[in-house]
Amino acid sequence: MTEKERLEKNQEELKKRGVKDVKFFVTNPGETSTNKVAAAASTFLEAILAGKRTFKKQFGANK
Amino acid sequence: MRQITGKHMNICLNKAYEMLEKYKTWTKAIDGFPRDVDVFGNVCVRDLEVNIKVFVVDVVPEEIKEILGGLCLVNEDGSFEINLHPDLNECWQRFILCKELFHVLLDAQEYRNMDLYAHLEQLTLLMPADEDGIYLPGTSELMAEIAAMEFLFPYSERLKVKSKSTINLLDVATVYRVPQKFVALYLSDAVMHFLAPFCN
Repeated sequence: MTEKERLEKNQEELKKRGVKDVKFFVTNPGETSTNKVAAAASTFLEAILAGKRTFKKQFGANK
Repeated sequence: MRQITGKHMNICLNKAYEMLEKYKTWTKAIDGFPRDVDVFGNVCVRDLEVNIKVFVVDVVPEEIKEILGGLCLVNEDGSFEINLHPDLNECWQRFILCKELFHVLLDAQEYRNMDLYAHLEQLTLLMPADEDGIYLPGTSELMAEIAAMEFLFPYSERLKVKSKSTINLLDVATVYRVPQKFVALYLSDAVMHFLAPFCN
């Protein structure tokens, strides 16, 4: 599977969960290839989709 | 590629100054540094009446922080989820959180692109891909970054720092709790010159 296909798979899963946009904090834009950033993005998203994240804080009330 | 127009500079800096006034009213304090990003987060939700949750993603290898420091999910129900890399130091955590909060404040349909690979291609390009106009979701990255810097280490403070005979970037980063990389970038003559017509 290419990094593009991997990211597309995660993208479809996010859409199913009601995500309508993703803002990425790319640490060194212009210095890192698209494939490397896509791979890092997929690693992040796969962890999030698998629930492997720790709640830190919340701003605002529950909706 | 990240490009910005005068119109978008005004949008992001006007938002930064508007939020700074609200932050000062909220804190009822004489302005000081480092600015409190957690208080700022509460000011944002009060202003927008949105829900913002912050998470640390557990299983991301350390070296990935040099590529991707975090990401923010925008949900259909109007809530936002900010997800941070687990190995960020305090300055990077504050900066990424503040930048993502400005993404929340500045969010609009024109800044979104749910084709994630195409979006990352645009962000990592070194030259404009579309001769018909700038890529607005890429512009929004610069808008959020410039607004975050104006909140954490404003232009007026940068002028004071630059007036000194010697500048120790690490010392400056420590005072304002901003990553040294962004201290150096935003103190550069080129960025200061570019921002001068827009900043207070």
